[in-house]
Amino acid sequence: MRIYEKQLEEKKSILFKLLSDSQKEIPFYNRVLKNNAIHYLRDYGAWTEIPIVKKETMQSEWTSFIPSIDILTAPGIKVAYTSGSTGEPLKIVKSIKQEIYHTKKLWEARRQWNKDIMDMRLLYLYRNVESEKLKVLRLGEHKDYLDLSEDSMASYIKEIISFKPEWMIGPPIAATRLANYCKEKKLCINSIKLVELFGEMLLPYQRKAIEETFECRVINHYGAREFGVISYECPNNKMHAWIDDYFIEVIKDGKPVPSGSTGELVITSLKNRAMPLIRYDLGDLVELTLLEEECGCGQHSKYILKPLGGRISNLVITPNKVISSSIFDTLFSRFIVKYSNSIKEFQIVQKSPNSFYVYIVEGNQYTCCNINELLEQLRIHLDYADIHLIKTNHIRNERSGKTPTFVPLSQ
Amino acid sequence: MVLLEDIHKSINDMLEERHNNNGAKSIDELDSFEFIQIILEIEDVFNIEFDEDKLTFDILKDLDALSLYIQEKIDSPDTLDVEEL
Repeated sequence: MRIYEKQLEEKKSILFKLLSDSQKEIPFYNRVLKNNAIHYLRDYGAWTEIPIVKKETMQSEWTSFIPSIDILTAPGIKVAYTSGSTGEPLKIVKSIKQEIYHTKKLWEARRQWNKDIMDMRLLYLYRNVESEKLKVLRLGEHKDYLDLSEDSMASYIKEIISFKPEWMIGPPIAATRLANYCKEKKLCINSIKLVELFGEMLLPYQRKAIEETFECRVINHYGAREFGVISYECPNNKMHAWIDDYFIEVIKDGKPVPSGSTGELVITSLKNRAMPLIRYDLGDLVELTLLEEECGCGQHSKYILKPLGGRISNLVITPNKVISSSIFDTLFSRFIVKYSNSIKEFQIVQKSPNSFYVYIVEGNQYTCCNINELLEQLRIHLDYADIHLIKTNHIRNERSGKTPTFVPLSQ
Repeated sequence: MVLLEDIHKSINDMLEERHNNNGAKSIDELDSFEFIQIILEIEDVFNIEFDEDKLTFDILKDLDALSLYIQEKIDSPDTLDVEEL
């Protein structure tokens, strides 16, 4: 298929180096790549002989994806974790140089929207600010969550209006809640020119609510912790894939789909040499299209990658506050990072404002963890609601195939 | 052709301005956001693009070497000439 053959042709020399180095240095690829690198680069058909790597494979044999355990303490190396929204968080090793390259590229993409964006006043709805040197307003006191209840919103508004933010970054659920609050109360925050949303799937109604309320443009930013930014919206509303950094494939029922069709994203990082990810199944539903002509925005990437599925957060409503369900990913990830392999899967089901069922599938190190630590954290964050722990062998998927980590009250 | 000493002076001014504005005393006190801000400013002023392997804080510590690198970049055929555009 042209969309993949073209990428293969454009990236042949980088892929050759990636495959041959990985074969030499990375135990997993040494085992699964039976032929020499050049064999897999003959054409796209040969490339598909490389097995697709599932997240579960990486979780179960994590150390075989790095050259040696010493890399974790090597200078210039950074370790990050995936969010844990699909179960156990995955440890990702990257070089700091790669991280800086990627962050620079992100700022370049942002500057396409406004050349002066690095100096503009930013309203930040996430918890960890990229840099203290940004002119930033971060709402709320708590380090793990942003309270989105009406009372808290009322207290934020005063701060926001006096700060006069020129742009905003946040998860769609929080930005939409703020927009809806302003609309209901007929509050006008007309200083905001841009809103960048990431971390969750951006739904059309959310974009509409934010654009209409703040009379601004919305930028969709699609990425994953394993890779960083994968595609970023341009001022012509096209989600340009960062094609210089990845080999992108879309697979449905085990087979690649043509340009413009929907399937699951399988991605190869051309940049991460510390922990090569080759044909990694990210599991998100996407559509990849190859444009016939370059977009008028000036970006050279003709590959447009639209996310069509992925994490959708819900609101957790307790008697005293309203927070994003991403809090569960945060708390479980932190616990599983501390007690490795203690929990394999989890799901929280809200039964009433004061009652939550916590389903867990035990990992092979469950007996080594102190589960009460986690339950206590959940109680604290959920206003001391009743927490019922239920151990199970399997957590049922939804019809879409996804397993939501939180099932809200209304369902 | 841009003179090496002009490049050197221009970067020096840029860094001094950043230091004064942000209170940073040395390159080691910059965070990655400030580092990227400086790199992008240099790219804008000289119409060049840094190679990936040069994106380390150390590059700002040796201004002679950095100036030379920028001059080579300006002179390389890949660099776009603003006037030609």
